[in-house]
Amino acid sequence: MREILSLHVGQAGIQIGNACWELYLNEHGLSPDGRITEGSPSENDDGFSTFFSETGSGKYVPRSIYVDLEPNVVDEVRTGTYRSLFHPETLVTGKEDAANNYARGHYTVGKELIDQTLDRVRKLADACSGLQGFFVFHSFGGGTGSGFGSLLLERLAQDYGKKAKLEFSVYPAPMMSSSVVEPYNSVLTTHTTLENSDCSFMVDNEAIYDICKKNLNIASPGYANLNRLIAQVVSSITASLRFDGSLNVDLNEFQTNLVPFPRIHFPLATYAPILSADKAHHEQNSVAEMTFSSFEKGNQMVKCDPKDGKFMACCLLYRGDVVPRETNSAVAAIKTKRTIQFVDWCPTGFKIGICNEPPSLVPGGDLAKVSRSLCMLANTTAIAAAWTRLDRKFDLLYSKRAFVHWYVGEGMEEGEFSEAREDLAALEKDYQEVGLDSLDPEEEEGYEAEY
Amino acid sequence: MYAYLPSPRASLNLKQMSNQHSKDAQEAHEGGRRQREGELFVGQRFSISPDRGTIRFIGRVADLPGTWLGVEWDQPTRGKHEGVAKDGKRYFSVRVPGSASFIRPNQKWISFGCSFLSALKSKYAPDEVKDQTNQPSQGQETKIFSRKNLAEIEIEIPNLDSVARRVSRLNKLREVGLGGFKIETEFPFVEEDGEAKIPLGMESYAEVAFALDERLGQQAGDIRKTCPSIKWLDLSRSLLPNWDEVAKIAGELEKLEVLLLHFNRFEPITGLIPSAWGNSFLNLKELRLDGTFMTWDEMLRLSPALPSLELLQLGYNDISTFSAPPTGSPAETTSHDLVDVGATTRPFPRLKILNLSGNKISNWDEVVKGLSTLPELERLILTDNELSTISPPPWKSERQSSSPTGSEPRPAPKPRFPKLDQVVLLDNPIQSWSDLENLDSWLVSESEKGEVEDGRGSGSISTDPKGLRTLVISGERCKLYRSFENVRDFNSIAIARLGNLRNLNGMTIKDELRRDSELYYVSKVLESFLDEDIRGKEEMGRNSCGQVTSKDFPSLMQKVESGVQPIEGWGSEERARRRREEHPRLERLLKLHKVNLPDREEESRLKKQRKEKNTLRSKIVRVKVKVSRGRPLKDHPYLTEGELLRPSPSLAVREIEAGSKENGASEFDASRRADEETEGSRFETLSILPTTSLNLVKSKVCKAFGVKPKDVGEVWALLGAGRRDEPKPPDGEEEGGSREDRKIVFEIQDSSRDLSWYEIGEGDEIVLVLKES
Repeated sequence: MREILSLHVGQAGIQIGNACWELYLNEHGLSPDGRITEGSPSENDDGFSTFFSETGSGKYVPRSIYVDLEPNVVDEVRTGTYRSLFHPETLVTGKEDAANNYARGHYTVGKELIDQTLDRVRKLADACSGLQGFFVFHSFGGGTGSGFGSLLLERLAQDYGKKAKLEFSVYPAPMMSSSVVEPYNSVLTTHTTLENSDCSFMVDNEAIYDICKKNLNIASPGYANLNRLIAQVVSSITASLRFDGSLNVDLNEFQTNLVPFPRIHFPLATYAPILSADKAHHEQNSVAEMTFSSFEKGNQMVKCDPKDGKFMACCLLYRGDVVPRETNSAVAAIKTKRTIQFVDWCPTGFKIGICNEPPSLVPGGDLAKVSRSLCMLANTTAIAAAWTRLDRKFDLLYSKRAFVHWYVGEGMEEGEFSEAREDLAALEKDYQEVGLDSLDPEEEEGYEAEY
Repeated sequence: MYAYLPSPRASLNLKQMSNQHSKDAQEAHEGGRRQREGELFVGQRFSISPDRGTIRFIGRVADLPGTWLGVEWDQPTRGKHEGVAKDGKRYFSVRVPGSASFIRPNQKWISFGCSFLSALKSKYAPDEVKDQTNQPSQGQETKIFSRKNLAEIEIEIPNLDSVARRVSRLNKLREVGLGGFKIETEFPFVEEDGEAKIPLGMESYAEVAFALDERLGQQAGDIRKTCPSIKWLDLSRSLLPNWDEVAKIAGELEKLEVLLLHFNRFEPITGLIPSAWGNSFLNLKELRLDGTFMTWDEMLRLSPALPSLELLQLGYNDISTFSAPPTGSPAETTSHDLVDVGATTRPFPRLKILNLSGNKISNWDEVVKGLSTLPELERLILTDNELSTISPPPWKSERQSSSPTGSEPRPAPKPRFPKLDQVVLLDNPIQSWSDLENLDSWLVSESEKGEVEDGRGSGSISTDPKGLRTLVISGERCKLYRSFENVRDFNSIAIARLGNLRNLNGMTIKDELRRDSELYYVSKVLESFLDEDIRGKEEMGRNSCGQVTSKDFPSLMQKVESGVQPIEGWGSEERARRRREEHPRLERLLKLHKVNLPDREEESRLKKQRKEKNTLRSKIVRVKVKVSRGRPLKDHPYLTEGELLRPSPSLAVREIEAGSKENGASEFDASRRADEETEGSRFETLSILPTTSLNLVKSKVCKAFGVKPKDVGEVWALLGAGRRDEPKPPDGEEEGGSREDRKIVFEIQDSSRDLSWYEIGEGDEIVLVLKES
């Protein structure tokens, strides 16, 4: 088997985890305590055992670990609807929170919890017959998410070097902000994880907030609304792993396609259709229509303009009632998109995956039920705009060394700040460079002649 | 409504067109343009890609040769007239004006659809799967890439045949979509095999027109055999002519739970439905019927066949009225051949969610008439309708008019909306809060209505009272919502006004939020009362000086003059009544949060003060300055009369005694004032800012009294003790002299400090002691 372990770190990671597992249960027809219900698609498809492990009593338990430095958020899980779903040992909490401080999460407070966490990870990994990799869910802005999340990735890289390590990270946004030091935490954590993670799917709170407001008519969206939408995206990405052979392409294949350089591993995710349950949506989404809207800015999970950048690779994950002949119209739809630019050095183009398992919905959610959906993953240089934004905010604070004392007080050195910032600057530069057209052989010759 | 031709099934042999015989499913797929052999009939549906229509007339038209089909197009703009030919004669009628035209039966590309099974096979199990993998889009030829041209970019679809294999297992299919698509004109057209240009986005399939094709050997039961697992079926924009065919298809799909039939044009259901339908939709939980011209009446007729229905969507059907559900006993219907199949008398016994988006509902009473008796209805979606007001329920006005003491048993009213607690009012022109409050009182169930709301406030969520728990209200057209610039203000007021609300616009209302909102609301409302009162008083005051004299309105003027309001905190009687109506929850909230109605006089004074707080004038304090030859004493009298100097008359400073004439003087005690008088004019009152340094004060005083600054030896301050905000000691403990007389007496050492540093304020004394010469 090709098992996946999901590690949820910090408040954001755990709450996204709740939304994801709720949706997974729904898609696989499992009850809140992890039993297969009648008529579930999992009765004759055991693909979901990559994400769930079976216990002796016939219950299915998520292959997941929830870690938080403080107990509140996990306590809600321990007492909530899904309390009997998770194995108590997979819920790890400390006593002292990270106080939005990367240094606390990474060094002082985090180090007390890391060994216990890795111990639990080891236990889960030992129960796998062929561990494929890890999904780490965390936020950039929070103390636990940024500090402990990067620490965990570091240690995973040491212990499980060959396994894939994918991240789902929440990019901070002012309207859902909880602290002023988010730019610091984000830059520091990105710097630490850049070398340790294979692929990182970013979700920008601001972009999702706007989607909720515009498409779903939620006047002031809360975390619960955002997380449900994020869960749909995560579910689309992981569907190929959870439904046995239902997808023509494995996620690993996509990943290979999507990441041309180890550092350029931040694909832009787009989801369509996003329709409100409170409106009558009588039009079925044709494949072409979905494909079109996936190139629109309004459906992106990170705020940036793909027109500003160049694509390196692009994967389209169709889901639901999509038959092979319809892909023709998808292809035709893509070809009419004249605004998409590709870098000229990379041979890969679009890759299309079809998963016949229809998207599912959590009852009481904001989204309307549709028979098919599309999640597009594009590695585009436009996403560098997100780093530019972050770096600017970092510079504003750091030019005055504002709030740095909180970090230094926890034993960090100021040098780490400038080091991280330089790394991010290098990343921006990397994006710039991959976007440049390589020189034509002829031009190159001309250049030499001139020389 | 429209009328059919008198001949119900005017059929016509069209042998000349039967050259396209179809023998099997593969041929049926052939672009979906197969002709059904033999006959055409009125009511039959057809498509001429990409438009669909219904045949309303077959025969000769005017004096033109040959047979014509009079058709009604689904897309009204496709039509040319209203069924009236050139000769001025009306051949048929249509529902939407302008949606009719005449066409020839052998029109190019005309298609009459195929059976459900043929369509299913053509979509999911076509034989040409192999061809698909060799599409040019596979990109073998793009080995030398010029990345500038997107059309040459490789598009990989690996393992397509495995996908094809998987979907072709028809018996495993759970979600099936055989509906057509709306054609977006902005989509570019693509050539398909040199045939017609089809707009991209329309994946053209064989269109379903009937359940089974006997000529292909399809028999009843075949659908059940082929695809028994279907749970979700989309037959939108199909060519199905009536509910009968739908019932045939659905009847064989025992697991069917969701059926989508948007934009179909079914024959209206006029009478009772055939009993055979009763078993067709037994397990159906969701039915979606947008844009089908279905009326609520038809739905009621259909309801006996839908015993398990939990969600019904009837969007964009031009519904504006509802007829009350039949109350008669089922015995009435047994005499008919077509029996009322449901044993229940109530329609939709399990319906939980009703979506009526995009209709023309403008009258809340209609909604009450039609929907208030649905026993299980929980969520009502009225997005994009015309509701602007919601009338209060009759019992509300009854309760208000009758005195609460009269406790005669009233006739028990019918149950209203027994389970409804979620309402979506997106994009409705709702205007005022009272509409929403009325809505809330409609939903508070009968047994609990009254003061039940008291059980619910911040901190305690009792589960008993129902009321309006979930509300979605926003959108461009909602006037109430648009009148707020800040969403948070709207939210707070909505939460405070609607006490049962737990979810507003998708946001869960936590206890803290409710508490904050309610307090915010209370403070806002009380402030507005105050403003109104002040304004009202000013107006009345102006009137009294002007034309209106107190003789004209003696009682009113008396009230104004005395400044006493008849009902404390609520304003005048009339105003109070209006305010109670405008803010029905206010009293309850005041009680709940233990907020006292403010003393109106005090409050308005404070408000005035607050307004003036930031001016320099408001900060000026008046201090008494004296020049003495001897030091002040610790006890009364602080200064010996004889030693005080009189200010020099020639150099008298502006502010002499000015202070005592102003309002501020009221703070001085009467006894003190008498004191001052005996002192005569042995002191000056100086109006200065507390930020003035004592050096400056000293020099000013010297000027006023005509002494030289160098003669001044010491500066003393006498602070009035009574003015301080110290806790008063119990009366009995006080010794010697009234409290007013006690002062704090100290010498000022550093005269570069300012007055406020020494806490010298209104009414305090500064004494300059002259050096002993």
